[in-house]
Amino acid sequence: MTEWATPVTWVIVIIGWFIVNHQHNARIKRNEIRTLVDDIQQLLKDIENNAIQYHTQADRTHAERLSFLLKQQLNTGLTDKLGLLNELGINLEQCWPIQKELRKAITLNNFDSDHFRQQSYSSNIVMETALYKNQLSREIERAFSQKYHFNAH
Amino acid sequence: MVYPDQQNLNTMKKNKRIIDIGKDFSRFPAGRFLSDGPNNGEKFQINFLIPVMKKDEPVIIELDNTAGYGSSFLEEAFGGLIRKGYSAEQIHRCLSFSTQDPSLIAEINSYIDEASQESLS
Repeated sequence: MTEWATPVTWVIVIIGWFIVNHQHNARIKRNEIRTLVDDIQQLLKDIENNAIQYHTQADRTHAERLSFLLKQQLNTGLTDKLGLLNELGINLEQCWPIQKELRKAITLNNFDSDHFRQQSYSSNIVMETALYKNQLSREIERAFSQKYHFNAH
Repeated sequence: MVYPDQQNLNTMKKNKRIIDIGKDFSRFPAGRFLSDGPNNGEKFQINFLIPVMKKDEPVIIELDNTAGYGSSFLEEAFGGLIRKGYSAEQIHRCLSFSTQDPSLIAEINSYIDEASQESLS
């Protein structure tokens, strides 16, 4: 073997190791982000279910518990998870306005109120809850696929 | 939406009084009117915001130390200031907000501006 061959081999090995390591780390990060996105999707389903239950049930036995739960889920729960997703490099600029609309749909009217009125499934509150939940859900998936579209497979 | 950077926020906090809703009012703000419960938006407005507006004093409202907000609380507390006769300009001048949730500030500002539009029409 010539004198230069050994260092060149080492350089190739080290570059190869860097590339493999980088790809491995990127795959792990993508999987972590996907898990977080799935958590958020499940949280959105829970929020929608709890909100519809809160507004459509005549029996107010669980209203206080549901109200407390919804405020936590909508504020600290959803905000923390979206904030984390944002920090991991997913652009959520389009999500913040929809998050605001979702909170408004559920808690602006007929919520924590002394004058609660049972809502039908076709009421504006229920319809808007479903609408904004679906919009937010789609927007999060769009933001995820925008980042990982070319690395997805 | 832009977060104020930490240095700016720290400088603001040194120069202005802070009203921490979670510590000074309640960890569990809920409801719109006095009839809706003990920690409602109207009560927060009367006890904390109106004195600030009367003094025309700049304050920072810390939003993060609670278990969460219903929009009805936020609308009544902040949008309700317009219905009490304060201008959107004065409210924006006196009140600034500190939170990790950018959607909360946007929501509060939208209530102030919507109530202002309604009062003009």
